Amino acid sequence: MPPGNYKRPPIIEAVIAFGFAEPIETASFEKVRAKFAGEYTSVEPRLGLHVNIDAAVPMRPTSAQPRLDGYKLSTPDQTDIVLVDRQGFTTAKLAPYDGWPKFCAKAAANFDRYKAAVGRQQITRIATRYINRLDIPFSADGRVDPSNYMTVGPGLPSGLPTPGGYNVLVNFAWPEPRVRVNLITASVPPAIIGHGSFALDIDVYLDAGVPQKDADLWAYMDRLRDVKNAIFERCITDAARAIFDT
Amino acid sequence: MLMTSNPVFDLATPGESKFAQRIGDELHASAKMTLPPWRRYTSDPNVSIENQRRVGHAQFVSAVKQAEPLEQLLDRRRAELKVRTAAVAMHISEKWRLDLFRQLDDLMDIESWHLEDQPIDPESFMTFLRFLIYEKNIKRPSLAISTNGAIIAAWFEPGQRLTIEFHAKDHVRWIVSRVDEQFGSESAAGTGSVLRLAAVLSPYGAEAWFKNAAAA
Repeated sequence: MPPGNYKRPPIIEAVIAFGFAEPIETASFEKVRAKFAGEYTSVEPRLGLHVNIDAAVPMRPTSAQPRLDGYKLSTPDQTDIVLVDRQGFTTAKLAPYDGWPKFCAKAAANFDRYKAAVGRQQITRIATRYINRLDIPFSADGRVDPSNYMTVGPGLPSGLPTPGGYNVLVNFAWPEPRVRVNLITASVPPAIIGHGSFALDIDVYLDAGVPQKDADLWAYMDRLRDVKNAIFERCITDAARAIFDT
Repeated sequence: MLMTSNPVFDLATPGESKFAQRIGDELHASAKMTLPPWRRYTSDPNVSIENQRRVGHAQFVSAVKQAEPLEQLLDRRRAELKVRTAAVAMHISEKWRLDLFRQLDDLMDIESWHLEDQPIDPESFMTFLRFLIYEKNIKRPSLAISTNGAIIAAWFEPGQRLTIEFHAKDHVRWIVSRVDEQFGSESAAGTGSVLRLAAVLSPYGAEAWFKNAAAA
């Protein structure tokens, strides 16, 4: 079965993220918020607790106060999200996912708006991350065996009881392009009746030699996505593909 | 909305509010033995309808009863329900999802919020979503909220009614009424798992009321 372009891709969240060398000032958060105000009407402040410690009185904070560390902005239907924090900017899309061209174009437009608000910054990290959830139907005996649908999971020695749940994280270098990958797979609470659910989270990132020009940047983002796709297709079986195309 | 001493149910379906109100009266009369009170509007001669509807009044009540402003609470709850829908959006058609969001916006609109109303409980809403996906090809129901925040779905055709109240952990309460050609009018109510719903409703032919013949 040819991979990709599934009728019902199992994507629950797609992310394009940027990291920057220098933090932005608190006042810049309001500029960003204003730039996205018309479209992203839900605004959720992200607060951090900042503690000051006097060196003369170690182990005892002299003050602790909340500080605005960014915003989560969402569209009215909550499927398009922008996250801005002191050293990062992220565009995210919750399901339903409507394809890479639309999502990438949206992320590029959002990044342009962000730059218009805070100015150009040195980009130190770019990433594309896709969080998938495979909803696998129970077999006739009421069990679900993810190994029939996924080629990645925990490796246990024979003789151990069947695990009730698992969470596996792997980090590795991809040879070409030379990027790094965080791959997470885990059992998760069943999302729909009569199914077991399993997450497949693929985060492909570049944190050295990041292109700074827009054309180069987005061309490289396409390559990150190609790596993500290659990894995804190697992690699933034809039985899973059949579910995505139903 | 008329000022009336009878309970009135707001079933949020575009263009059907008056019909839904009438059906709501009839449903309540048959539901009183098992279902908890629905979101109801009651008249108070000392408070006009307009005062009860006005946002400022709702905010005043909210400020007295809750630390979080009512409008903020409703915004936050609507957002949470939409995020939960996104988590299963690959199993729901785009049209169903968008229509559902319109109903949620209508149900939890501050302009029509009543003093005793509760926002939809997210766990109740999850059971409703799981029901939609499990049963497949569901006809779009009218929706309401019970006084304890449970989402209620109702389907009605001439001579027959089905109402399901959704609770956490796939638990439902249901009531059905219909007119049988041979035996006259009959009604029944029950509680149980959403997985058993089609089976327990089958003696009444009720599955045909809430499922489409064609794919959704």
